[in-house]
Amino acid sequence: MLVLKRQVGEKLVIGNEITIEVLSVSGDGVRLGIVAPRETSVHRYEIFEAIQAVNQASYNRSGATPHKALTQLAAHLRGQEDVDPPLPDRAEVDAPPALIEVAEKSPDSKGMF
Amino acid sequence: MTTLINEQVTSDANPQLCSKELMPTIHIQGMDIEYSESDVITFDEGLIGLPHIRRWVLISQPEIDPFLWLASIEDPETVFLVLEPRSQFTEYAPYISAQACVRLGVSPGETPLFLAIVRITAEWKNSTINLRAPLVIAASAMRGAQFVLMESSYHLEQPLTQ
Repeated sequence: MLVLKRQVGEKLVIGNEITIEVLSVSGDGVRLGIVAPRETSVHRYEIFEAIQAVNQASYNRSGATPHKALTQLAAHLRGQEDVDPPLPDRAEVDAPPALIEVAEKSPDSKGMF
Repeated sequence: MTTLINEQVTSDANPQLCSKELMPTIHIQGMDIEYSESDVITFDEGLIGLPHIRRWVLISQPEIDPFLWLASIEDPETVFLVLEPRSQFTEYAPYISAQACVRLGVSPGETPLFLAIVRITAEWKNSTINLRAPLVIAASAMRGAQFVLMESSYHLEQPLTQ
């Protein structure tokens, strides 16, 4: 890890384009201003770390997938009559909704239980 | 264009295969899957926590429908179970900027494909889906990325069952 000391008002540059400025320091934290190209995402580390952890927990080394649980869950989703309660509305949707057809639900799947 | 590969079993007895060039095969979840370059979806930055795993194929398998496998060509042991989130969460509408879509390679008028990573637990009812960091795929360009939704109320571990 590179450790640098910066005063309020001073900056860092990462690569050629990402700039971080120390805006203010108070007892319980530091306010940072970040200038980065649009294609560079900037996130609080905790969310990145949490997603990394969930990705790691989700991927299936061979033999590790609980196959029976998977086929049971798949059957459950195919046989489901009601949809889940709606999630909170988002203010804007820039990309149009996906057009991929939803898989047909099979009435036979309930027999798999 | 083939985005999905249906489960195939390679067969020595199949006369059609004798005259073709051998297609690359990967072994995933007990299946031998042939694929061609046109099936490969490239994630330029990999996935979060797996930044160097960039070439993937999507595989359908009837017994796990509606789930799909997203399998790494580079490391066949790295396989994710994925699901189109709107098949179960009809109101799911994450904000993805137009610029992000263009950078991904989504063509004008094209709708990107959303897939969410599913975590299956031995107690199947406890399985969860990651709605906070969906995979977004531009089928026309065969490119994808994992997007982290900013300031979102969608959950990292959303239960799949009631």
